[in-house]
Amino acid sequence: MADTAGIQYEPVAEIGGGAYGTVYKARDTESGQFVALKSVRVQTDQNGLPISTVREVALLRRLEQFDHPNVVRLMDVCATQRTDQETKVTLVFEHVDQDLKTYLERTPAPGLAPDRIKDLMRQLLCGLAFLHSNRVMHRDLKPENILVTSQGQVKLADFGLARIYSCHMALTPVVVTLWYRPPEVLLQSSYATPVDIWSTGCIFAEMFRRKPLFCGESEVDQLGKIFEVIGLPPEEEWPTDVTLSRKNFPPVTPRSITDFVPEINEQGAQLLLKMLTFDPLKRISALSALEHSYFQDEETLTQTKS
Amino acid sequence: RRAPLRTWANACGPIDRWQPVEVDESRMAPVKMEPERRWGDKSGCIILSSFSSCIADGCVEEHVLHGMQGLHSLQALVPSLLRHEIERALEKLNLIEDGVYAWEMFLEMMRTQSWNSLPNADMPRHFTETTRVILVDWLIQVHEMLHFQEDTLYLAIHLLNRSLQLIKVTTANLQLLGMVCLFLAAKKEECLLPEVSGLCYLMDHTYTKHQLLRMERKVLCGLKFNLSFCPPLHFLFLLASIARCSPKVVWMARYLMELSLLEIQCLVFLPMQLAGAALCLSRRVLQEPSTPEGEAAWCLASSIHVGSEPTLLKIMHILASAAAKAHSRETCASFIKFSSSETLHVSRHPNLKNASALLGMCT
Repeated sequence: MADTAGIQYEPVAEIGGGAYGTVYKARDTESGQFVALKSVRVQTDQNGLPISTVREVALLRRLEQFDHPNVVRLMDVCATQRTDQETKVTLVFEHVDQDLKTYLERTPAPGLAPDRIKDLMRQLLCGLAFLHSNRVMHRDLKPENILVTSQGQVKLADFGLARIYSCHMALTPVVVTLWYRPPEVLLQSSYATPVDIWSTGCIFAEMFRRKPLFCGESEVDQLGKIFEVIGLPPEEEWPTDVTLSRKNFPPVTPRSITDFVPEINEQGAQLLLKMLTFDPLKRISALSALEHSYFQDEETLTQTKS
Repeated sequence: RRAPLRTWANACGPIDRWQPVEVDESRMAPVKMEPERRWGDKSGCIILSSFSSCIADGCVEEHVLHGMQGLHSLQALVPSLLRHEIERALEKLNLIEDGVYAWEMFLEMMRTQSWNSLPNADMPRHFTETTRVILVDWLIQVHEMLHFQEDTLYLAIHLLNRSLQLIKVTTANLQLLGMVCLFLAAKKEECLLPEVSGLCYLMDHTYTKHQLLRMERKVLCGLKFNLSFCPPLHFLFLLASIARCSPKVVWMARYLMELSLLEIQCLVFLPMQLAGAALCLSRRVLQEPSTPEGEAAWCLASSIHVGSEPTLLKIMHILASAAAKAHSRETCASFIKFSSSETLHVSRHPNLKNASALLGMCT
């Protein structure tokens, strides 16, 4: 397939730069289907492809076998050598036209119906719970990589790529949006799957607001904007392994979340606060979020349940 | 005798440069007996009686060969005791990180083992059974020399089998393909990797490093990076732990299961079936005196196999005849490996030589 990759997939258009390099929309000449091609350039030494790449891509392939409805399909992978020091790994994903960002932009006023938001959130959390139970975290969840099909099905994309790309990230200085980053990442503390829940909370709020919740311009600015809403966390919750001191921030008290997300109902507001919890250990998990009372009242029309 | 493949003595040189990989004791140690355990629930025995009657009938139903028939209703079938035992065993064997997910993990092992199994044992025409046996035997030696974990060997042979069905490789490059599969399995499983130059040395520089890395890309693309595999060893240790098997029974089963790597007919069987058959045969070969507790534990472990008895029997036949002639074959890497004192000399057990008697016991 290495030799045929160029022939089998015929590039149609460039779709977005992406943090990790150019993404192409292409047509699979065998099936006629549209696909999204994402290439990673991996440094290769005399021992071939790095272990990390082999393991991470193998993990994505394993996840693929579960055929989860809320995760984008990884249809093919090929590795081609570019130079002695570089191998190009191309991941071939199913192509979905629309991401949550454009979906929200296209929604006419007054915005999405509450039931629609609930359905999108349920699907989003189902996908996340699946990834997290397989020990995969997304790390860069944002409306741009949450795909929404024309049937309204949510599919997570770009998960697990962060680790594949991280080894060569230094080569391409890119601006990655800070808006969906949790405090522990902004503070450069250790982090795990709760990072994705924070991002999900930001996205939850954005579905009602149709604009981002926290639009910081730097790490410190982003943290400041977060504390304006959730309040400055107590000293004992501040991580000890970080350089940025709590004293750098004004001692603000939490404000009501409904000041920022007025359309949200009571259960929704409760869930949102559990997602936007400063301490990652106290933040709600994807599985518990799905059991939250916000989802338990009247049955909404769901695309997927798993 | 192994013409295209380098001899053992020749290959032993560079190994000294590699530090032996630290062997995780808990993984390698045979399952310990816990004689004081009492069995309150004997429901497993009812299932066993159907198991033995099925064996007595010798009924070989083809339709059960490929799927674990009992799986759909497994959750309903298993007594809570078995579930408890499975959870304990998985935790004890360090196969899971968190005991809370043990049962889900087991169900997933059972469910996903078939995803990566081969639909048939068809191999390209130039890759004859003899060639395959020589190559696998050589890989067993290289694997042992590199001090890799046992899982890595099973993964390597699995990758080899799948690669051969998916990509075109010339006869001249078969050895290279085998080495690359072992190398990729190591990249997936091992903490310490050998240098590519060392691997080329082991092949007497028949191939260049460049060729090896090109083959690596070819295999990865052919397999679409799909390197997942649930090694039969995990199932073997799980069953042995539930069945409270003695270390000797476990070693014998490990030997018998390794012999299955050389048998092309074994390609289509599921890991759990191979493990079950190896353990069953091992018990029959060793004929250890039975205790009520031991029998109860064995019944319970056997209940996992409900519905696949004919398949088990078929595998036991294959393994028994392989074990009977193992000592006289040229390809005897496993025989030698398992004749050492650490492995309790299981491959030299006198009962193994008499295939007909073994087969008689099975039917």
